[in-house]
Amino acid sequence: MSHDDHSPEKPGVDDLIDQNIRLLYNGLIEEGLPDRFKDLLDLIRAEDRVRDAGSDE
Amino acid sequence: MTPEDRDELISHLPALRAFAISLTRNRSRADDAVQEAVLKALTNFDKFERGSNMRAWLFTILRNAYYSSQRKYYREQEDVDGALAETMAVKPDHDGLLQFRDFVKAFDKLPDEQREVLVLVGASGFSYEETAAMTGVPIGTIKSRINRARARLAEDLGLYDGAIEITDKTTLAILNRGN
Repeated sequence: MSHDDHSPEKPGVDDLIDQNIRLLYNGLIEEGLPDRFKDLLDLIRAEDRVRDAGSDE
Repeated sequence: MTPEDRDELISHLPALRAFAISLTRNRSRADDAVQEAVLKALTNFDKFERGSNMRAWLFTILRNAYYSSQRKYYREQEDVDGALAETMAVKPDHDGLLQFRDFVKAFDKLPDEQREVLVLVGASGFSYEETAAMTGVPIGTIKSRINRARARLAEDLGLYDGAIEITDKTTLAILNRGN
């Protein structure tokens, strides 16, 4: 949804909506991951270590 | 899974969670969905085609898990209209003609399939083709959903009723931050 042809000072309705969606989405990303993801992150890293160990054998 | 794969997977988690929250409108449920999706991805990582788009692959796993669990949750699900708006941490404090909180409330009320395509195409940067592949519907349907979603948001927010020019610099700065 590129709207490069619109001036940012006079965005159309679609531009305004898209900008707000990006604002919402980026705001959610900026929240990062809550503490409850720690176990999952550990699992992902452990998965890596297990595979590495297996490949070393 | 190589260390690079692992690092890439981890790097996608905040965006995956953002997508999940936009779908579920409930952080707790979104976190459950992300964790479930990642576990599925780890289990099936041998099916991931190296060189393809891992982010799209993860998003697809998440949305499929979400929709397959939707019926199960539906009966016991409380009314979540406005739930995301109530919990958004990003609440620009300004007097723009389009208030962000009002926008999030209107966004909350969109059907799942419309919120989904708006986020995938409008915010996540996926192309129409990628979004069509991820959702399993034709490109024309994606475009139609986006148009309907925008029209409904514009109607709910009264954007067709009058001038929508944003003139204050604070509002513009906040809106342009996501570009």
